[in-house]
Amino acid sequence: MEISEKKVNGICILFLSGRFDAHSAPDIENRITSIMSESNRSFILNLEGVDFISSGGIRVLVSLTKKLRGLNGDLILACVHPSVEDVIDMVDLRDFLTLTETESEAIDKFKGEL
Amino acid sequence: MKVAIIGTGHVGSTYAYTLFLSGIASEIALVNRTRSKALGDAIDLTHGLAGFSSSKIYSGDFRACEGARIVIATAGPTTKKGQTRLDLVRVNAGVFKEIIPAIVKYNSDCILIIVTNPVDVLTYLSIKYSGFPPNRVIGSGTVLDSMRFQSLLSKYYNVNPSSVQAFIIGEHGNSMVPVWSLACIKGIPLESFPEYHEGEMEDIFDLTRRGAYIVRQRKERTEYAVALTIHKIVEAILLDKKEILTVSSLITNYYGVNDVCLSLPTILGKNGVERLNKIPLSEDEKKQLLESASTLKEVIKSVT
Repeated sequence: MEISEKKVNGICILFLSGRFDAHSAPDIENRITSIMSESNRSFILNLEGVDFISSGGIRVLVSLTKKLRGLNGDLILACVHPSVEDVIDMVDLRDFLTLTETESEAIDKFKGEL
Repeated sequence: MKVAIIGTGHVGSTYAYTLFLSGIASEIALVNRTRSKALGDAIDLTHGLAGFSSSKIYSGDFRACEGARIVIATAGPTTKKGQTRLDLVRVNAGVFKEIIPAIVKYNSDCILIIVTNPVDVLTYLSIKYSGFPPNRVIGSGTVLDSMRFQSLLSKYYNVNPSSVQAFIIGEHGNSMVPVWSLACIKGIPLESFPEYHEGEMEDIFDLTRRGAYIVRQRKERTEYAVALTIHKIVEAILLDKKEILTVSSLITNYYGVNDVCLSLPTILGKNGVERLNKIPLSEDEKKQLLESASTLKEVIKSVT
């Protein structure tokens, strides 16, 4: 799994590429947890480069979302591949996780909340 | 060769379509409690003959089973939400007490394939009701569960599904047993792949066990994968493929399992069950298999 990072209007955007499974999930979790703070609590995961997610990946998405919401922040998943969306739907997490079609839509969503 | 399908609900009619497309049956007979539904399906399929097949397709009562090499029983209500397969047992045992002798009346030489749930219990009862030798009464068992398991593993490991060998044995239901000790990809143990992760493997089995439930939460019924499963069994018999499939059959002296129908890797060919080899299982798998067998025996006891 490759992870690149950028910041737009105070929002941390991570671009992921590769498999999102129990092997790669800890890297993502550690990366976000290490930069998560009072001023860094709005995160976007751009999943355009992820075409496979397993239960191990889903678990980390849920755990990170809960942590960030606990800090009055959030995690938005942008550009989710339809096959990954299927997995999210299969485990009934569509209402819990926030998904947007594009990265800019995710940024707008955070702006609306600010 | 002729194949008869008893019950043209969603599973039966989807299988009729699958069989029609395959072209391996020269005659397909459809039998249903409501004859007009079977007739409708037969006419509908017949309209496609010019494009795909030369099979003869017709509906009928149980007389239509005459001359069939294989008779497939899919009749009976399916599980409703929140109901286990075993909850269905009394209702479908009653249905089978009527339909199996009705099939035998017109065809005592066929191979019976039982698909209706709870399939292991109904396979056992069908042996009693038909008086057939056990090799000619086969339940679809955990063939579908094994296919689900292999498909999910292939997705996880990103390999061709046909390269994955992984069995689910025991009951086609909650007590099914994954045989992790023999699971591999073209002979290579799962543990030697970098993707291997114990937690992920447990989740894959959980998704396998809840497979039917996950589908029914979204579309009321399962039909396509089960039809493909039936076809694997039918092909193995009609084409004498000697293929190993985890069908349900009568088990005798298998790690202490006796006089119960459940699924084990079984060699299928023109005689139905050709051979059932004892596979090496871990101690934990043997224990789970015995538990699965005892769950089924209790249910059988309640209806015999």
